[in-house]
Amino acid sequence: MNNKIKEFTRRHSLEIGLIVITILVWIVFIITSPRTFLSPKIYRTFMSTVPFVGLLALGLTFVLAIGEIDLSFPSTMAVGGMCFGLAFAATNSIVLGILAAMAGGFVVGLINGILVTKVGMPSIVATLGMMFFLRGFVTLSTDGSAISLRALGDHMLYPVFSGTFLTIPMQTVWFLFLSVFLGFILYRHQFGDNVLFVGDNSHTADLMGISVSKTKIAVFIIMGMLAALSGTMDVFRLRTWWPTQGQGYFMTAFATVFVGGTSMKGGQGTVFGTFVAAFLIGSLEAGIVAAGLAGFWTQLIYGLIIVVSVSIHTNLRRLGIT
Amino acid sequence: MLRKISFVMVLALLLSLAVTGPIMAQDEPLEIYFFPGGPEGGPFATIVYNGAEHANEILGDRVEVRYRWSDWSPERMVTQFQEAVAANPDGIAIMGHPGDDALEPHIDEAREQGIIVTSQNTTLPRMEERYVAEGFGYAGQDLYDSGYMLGEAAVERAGLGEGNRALVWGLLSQPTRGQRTQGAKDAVEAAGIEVDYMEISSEVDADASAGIPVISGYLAENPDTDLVITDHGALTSTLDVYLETAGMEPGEVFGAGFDLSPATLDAIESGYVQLVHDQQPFLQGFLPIFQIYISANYQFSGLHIDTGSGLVHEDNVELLAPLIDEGIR
Repeated sequence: MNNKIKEFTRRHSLEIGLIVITILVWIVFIITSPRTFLSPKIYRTFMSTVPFVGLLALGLTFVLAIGEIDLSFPSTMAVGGMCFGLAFAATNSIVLGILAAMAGGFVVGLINGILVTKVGMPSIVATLGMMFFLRGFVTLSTDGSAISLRALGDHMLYPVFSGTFLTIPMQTVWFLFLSVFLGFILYRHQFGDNVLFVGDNSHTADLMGISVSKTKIAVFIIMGMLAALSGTMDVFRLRTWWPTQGQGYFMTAFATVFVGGTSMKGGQGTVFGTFVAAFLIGSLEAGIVAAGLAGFWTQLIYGLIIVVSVSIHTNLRRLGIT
Repeated sequence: MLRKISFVMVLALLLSLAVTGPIMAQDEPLEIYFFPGGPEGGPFATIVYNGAEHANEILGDRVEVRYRWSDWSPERMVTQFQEAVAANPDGIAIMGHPGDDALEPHIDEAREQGIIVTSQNTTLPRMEERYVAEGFGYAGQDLYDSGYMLGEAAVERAGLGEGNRALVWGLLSQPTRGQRTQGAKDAVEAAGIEVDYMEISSEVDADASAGIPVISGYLAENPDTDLVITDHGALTSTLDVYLETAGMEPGEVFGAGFDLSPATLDAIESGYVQLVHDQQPFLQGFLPIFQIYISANYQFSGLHIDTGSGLVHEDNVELLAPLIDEGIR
């Protein structure tokens, strides 16, 4: 029994370490600002604001696990939000809006995947180009104007993405559901094995009969659809779509994935780590401000926590503990 | 003149209340969440922050101000506003960039909790009307009017009319904030001038130096441009670099824009920038803190104060130079 516990601890030390860091950070926040952090309200707020970055980070977890990178996701988020906004404004149908957004995310992911696997562009270059292209595309398509969707709040299906379920904000319900589903895919499904295998050594994976191209394209499609879904859910929250949508999430999403424990080198990815890190990263700024650190301290502390967390992961890996 | 007198009276009222405040002061300091708008250290946001800090210093231990830096991202502002509401402070001073629709449910929630909300820099007309009696004020420019004022004055001072060409580089895509760009564009077009409009991209919005190749390319293609208006503080402060890089001599193109900073002062002195609209961001930080303080303590309703009524040019810039260096103007 002891051996099983030891083995479990050894295998999951990265996730356990992350939970410990998160709890420690929150304890510090509770000590420094008890009025805010002993109230359930702040946690409910995090549950309604964190999932937007969380969904992007879930997609990035898969992309990094397969040994690639995607820089276009903030623009894809705007594509998803725009497709939803235009479709809803034209039809007043949430279902059609979501289908349009998912189609937009699918097409962007497919193009990214084709550019990387068929055209042979490095993913950092292909997705960098797509990031600019898509931002220009949404700005041109809407003549640079925002889309006001005030009527969305009165729609009967509005609570599906912006209401609550047993007092839990629906944003977190969706984030949790998709995390469990994608965790199952990554750890328990053949596709997940292929992703990790390709990420670890694509040449060997190819020799083993795994279709590297198809797997990579599928991962970029997952990323695209998750970004589009995040954009759609963000539109539900804001009841407005801006051409600048997603730009504030770029660095936060990357920080979430790296703090969660997913490596840039490929072949490794942790959906659980990403889920926990999303809430850790998402709560940092509010905690630092509530602690009363005035003025210009926020980014300094924010950066420090990220560097310390990732240093711990890196050393755990180097020592072969995870 | 009337506007100046009323502004002085409001300021005198605020300061006298601050002085007499301790008599009625509450035991616990008022906790206020304040949104300077931009990134930490951003030129405009820092002046707003300086104003809020100055009010904080005057009020001493009667208030405790906490800052949320939003990088001018409307989404971040909404998220940070939600978090501020969850922290249940006594007051929140928000920038209105996300617009009424995006902020409405959260402002309603804040009011239900008894949090005083006020606004600065960009208006939230519906929210202000709904909660004005409960301390919801506004300290900032009237956006469209400010834009129109600058556009009209630029045309007049540059002596332009039909047959001339102008570039307006702004932020029409942002729902409320874009009104200032629209005002400037309308004023220039009303003078019969051909106007080319360019949207400020997010990269340029975040880092003005990223705009050098954009405007260089435009001016190379359109060497007959007579007037350039930049609707962005950081871009206005970089206008001299833009024009110099594009091979222009000082005064060859009439440069106009918004918001003062030490760099903008240099640009005016170097002759590349001829006209700047000053919305007095210091007051957009200073006044909301007092708004929340007097509403919490004396139940005053919201004050709508237009801070943007000044035009700065080579004839009056010397007067303001020391204050610009101090980060007050």
